[in-house]
Amino acid sequence: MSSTLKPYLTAVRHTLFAAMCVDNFSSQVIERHNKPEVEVRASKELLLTPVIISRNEKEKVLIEASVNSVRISIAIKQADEIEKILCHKFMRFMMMRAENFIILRRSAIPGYDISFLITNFHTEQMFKHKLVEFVLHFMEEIDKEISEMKLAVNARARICSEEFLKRF
Amino acid sequence: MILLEINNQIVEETLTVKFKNALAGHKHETTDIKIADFDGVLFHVSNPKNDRSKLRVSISLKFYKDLQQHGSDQLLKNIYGNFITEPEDGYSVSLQLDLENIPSNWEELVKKIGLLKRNCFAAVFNKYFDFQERGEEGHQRAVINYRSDETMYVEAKHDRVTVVFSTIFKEEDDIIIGKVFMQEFKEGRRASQTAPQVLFTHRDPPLELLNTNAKVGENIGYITFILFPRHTNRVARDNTINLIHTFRNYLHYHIKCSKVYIHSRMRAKTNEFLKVLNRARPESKITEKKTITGRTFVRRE
Repeated sequence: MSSTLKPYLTAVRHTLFAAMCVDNFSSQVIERHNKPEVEVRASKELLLTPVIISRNEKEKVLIEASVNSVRISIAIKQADEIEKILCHKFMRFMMMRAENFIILRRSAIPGYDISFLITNFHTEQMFKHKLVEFVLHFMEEIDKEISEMKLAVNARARICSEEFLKRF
Repeated sequence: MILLEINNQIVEETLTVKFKNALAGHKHETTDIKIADFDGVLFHVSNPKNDRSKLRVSISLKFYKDLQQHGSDQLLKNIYGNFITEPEDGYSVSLQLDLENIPSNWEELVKKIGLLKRNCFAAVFNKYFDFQERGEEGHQRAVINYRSDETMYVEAKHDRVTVVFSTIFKEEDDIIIGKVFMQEFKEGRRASQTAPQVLFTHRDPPLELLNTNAKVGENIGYITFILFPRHTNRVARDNTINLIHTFRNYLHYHIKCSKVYIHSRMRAKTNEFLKVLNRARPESKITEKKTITGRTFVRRE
């Protein structure tokens, strides 16, 4: 299973590097406004073709680019019910703190678990290669964290039941 | 702290302080303390009729009528003897203590009073354990509504006693974490050969409760304990009652602890992500520089 991880992450890295060529572009429709075109989706000529990189049915990354912004949506592996609620809790926790996170989107695109929005202003303030590194680091760490939390819940359940039952 | 305590610490400590004061000859003080325990149970330690040399300990259980049907009054009389008095207004059972005549074994008495809630429950269990011991079958099952939406059923057969708890999970996540816990309880036989059998059903009541109007719902779980004679015999009986009567609180306590742990982990991880993200910012260039003679240059952006 992990043999597909490296090629998956490499593909995501290269695609992100290519997609993250964003420049300042004021709104064509409304005077004096500057909006991320990938969110507005008003003018077709400013949007690039969206790309989906799938590791399998459940895990995929959607990268939508435009002239001044990039939207990255990630679908995380959730094998069983407990992983589902842990993932859901974790994503909700982070999305509530989206302001602190700067590049995080407050709600995920339907069909995915979490979304990032990177605009030209962000790439002007932060190193582009570091942003890409961050997204990849995020993807790896989420999977690890969810597995660890699931293990912790299972271990706690086992210890509680053993402690209780051995007293009989 | 994995297991919950079955005695009420606050009651024990209050009484210990009062007794120690009285034994040391200090003046008696007025007392009026209300203490809450699991399952909506309230304790009240006060001075009856404003007599500061006497202490009254009362307990209020909303479901005491259910317990009375099974002989709890008699059992409490056996345990606390002369200390039982008329129940205070609005309370189920009261004990009266005289600070002027403190018995020599007061520490033991204080411990017994700390177990007042447990002793109220004990009557039901003792009655059904006796049925099983005598091999009697066909008695009605006991139904105790110990919480507003949750019930405990006790039934005796000739070779076992079944105790069924119905419990409500207030949140969806609780249901799933609860299922993980109950899965481990079901396989508890691995841990110890003496453990009772535990069964769990979600949504529908188990077969034993088939013809009762037991509730059905998405967030309702039923936990069945099958106690065998080795748990219900005279020797092991007290220990079994101690463990079983707080089971529901034990389960929900640990579910909450898991959620707390998960939350603190999420916090830590989020902070870590923020740190990594901040590495993406370039270090700000130094805007102010000085020469040896003291002239300052400020870089204008």
